[in-house]
Amino acid sequence: MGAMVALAGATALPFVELRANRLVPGAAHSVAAAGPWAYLLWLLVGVGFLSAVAPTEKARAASSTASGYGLVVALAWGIGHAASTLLVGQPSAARVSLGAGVWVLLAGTAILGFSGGVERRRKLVRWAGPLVLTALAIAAAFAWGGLDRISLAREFAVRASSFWTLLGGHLAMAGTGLGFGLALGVPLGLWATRNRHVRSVVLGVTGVIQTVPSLALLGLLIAPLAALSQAVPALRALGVRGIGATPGLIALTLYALLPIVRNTYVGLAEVDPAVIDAGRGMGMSSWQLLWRVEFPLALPLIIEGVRTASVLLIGITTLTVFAGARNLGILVFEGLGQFAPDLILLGALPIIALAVVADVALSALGRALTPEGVRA
Amino acid sequence: MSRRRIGVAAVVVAAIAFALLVSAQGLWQSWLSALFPKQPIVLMPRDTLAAFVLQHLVLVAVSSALTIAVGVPLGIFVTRRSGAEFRALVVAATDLGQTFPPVAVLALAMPLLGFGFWPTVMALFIYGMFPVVSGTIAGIESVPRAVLDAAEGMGMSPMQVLARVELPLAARVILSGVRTSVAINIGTATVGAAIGTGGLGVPIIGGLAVQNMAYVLEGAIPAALLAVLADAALAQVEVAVTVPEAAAGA
Repeated sequence: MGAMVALAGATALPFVELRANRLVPGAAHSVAAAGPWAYLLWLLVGVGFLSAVAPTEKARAASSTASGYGLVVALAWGIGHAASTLLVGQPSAARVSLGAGVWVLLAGTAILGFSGGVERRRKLVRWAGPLVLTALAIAAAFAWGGLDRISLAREFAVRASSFWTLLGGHLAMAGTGLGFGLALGVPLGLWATRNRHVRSVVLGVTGVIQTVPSLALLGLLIAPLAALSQAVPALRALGVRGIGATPGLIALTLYALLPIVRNTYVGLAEVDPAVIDAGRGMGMSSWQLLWRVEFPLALPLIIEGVRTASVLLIGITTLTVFAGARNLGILVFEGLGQFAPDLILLGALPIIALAVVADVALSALGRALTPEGVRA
Repeated sequence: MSRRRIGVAAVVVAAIAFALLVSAQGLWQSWLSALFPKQPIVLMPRDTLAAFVLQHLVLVAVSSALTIAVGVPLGIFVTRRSGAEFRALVVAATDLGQTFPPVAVLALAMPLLGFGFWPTVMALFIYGMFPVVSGTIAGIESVPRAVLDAAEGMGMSPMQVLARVELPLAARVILSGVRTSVAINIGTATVGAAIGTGGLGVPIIGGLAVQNMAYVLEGAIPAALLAVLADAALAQVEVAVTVPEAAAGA
């Protein structure tokens, strides 16, 4: 199936677009623009098809994995070739952007890689090799293959310095919101295990907050904060303003609460009472029980809540630019405002990548922190 | 009068109250003016509040209807024997898709699909699929093997097993996926205003752009109420479709 998707991407859809400048729509070019690389792409799609009919499981996995990695590399060089040949003799404002075909090909590649079992190899060592080789091949395409001439890369080059600042701003904002969420959420979750009324109020309120659209919550925070900072000059001196980082940070903290509180509560509540009894029998005080028995056992679930919260916050941080914060959301919404597709991509792709990396990293951390005795 | 009936009645009353509230343009005019006395215009002139709410509802209704119409059958398909080979792929894709921030997906729809109503519907539809598909798969797979064996033993055909046993027992989990999906759609549709789809995001984004906090509240308060109301309504549907025995067992 992956091969079929890839085939559609490699033949039916436009591969790249040549545009007079970064804003106007352009002329579509088929995969033939990739020159010699087009043949390699077709060949690799063919290898992908072989994976469906290969006689053994091992051969199937090998051919789809090989065609998956191969396609990524061939794509990088093919796009580079297309960009450098199409731009010959064009004015400097001309841009070459990726067409729908490239995205469909990438989707097909992902499916091929998946059926090749990339995801089943939990051990990093086993797929680090091909991954590093693929990354090197793509880096080489940037350096010598003309990949640096596509519109997305040029958009990046123009904004290289501000890009890193905005990326840093994004991480700082989401990270701070997550930190506040943890500082508030874990104690609240703990309190919820000790008191039934607290539990229903805290879980109810955080649940309602979670339903409120993030842009609406930001709006609801900005108006009163603006009024408050007008009324209390001392707050203004502290940097509390209707517009700026404050409303964004409050919103992020509030959104982080539900997953963290809920998972802390569930994690602590699910600790086997027999284990607690055993601890007490050993003469542990209730603080010792909490620190040395209950929290370690609840930790994997708490980390799971942190994972959910961080993926959520990385997305919502994008919206805080409406309240005057500076992060990758600026690129996204400036791009939307200017009708500049590649600027949108320059903002949105790193945001997606951050979310996926946070997801993978925190899942791994959760697994690593699971006490050995209770590992599934 | 059972608790269930009271819940339904409360949601209906709240929905009527919400409809009346957003149609009362004069009321908003007067209290926003009272709150922001220095602001000459407190309601966004582009449309009435009721029209913003309606645009928002249409956007969410169309995309959620598409999501359910495609997502539930897809989830059912991969739990059948004929679709089993796609199960791992669909599960991996929905897991990965759910980590994508909805705003980023919406923004990506623009370069690929263009501006306006239908591109936004497409983005909301695709993004909304992830929780619906994973809820459908989880719901159907939560039906105990023994129950399926019993149904087959009674001589039910596979279609009958699906329609009379699996779907009724899975309904609650499927609906909770739908509920998540609708909540995300309502929230993301607000951001859709940035790509020209109308709705309650228009006064919020417009108000922030021209520093008019009255516009911001005109959009933000109804948007928050709408989201909470929709969630409460779907929670009632969830309760209504739960098979009593299944609820007792859970």
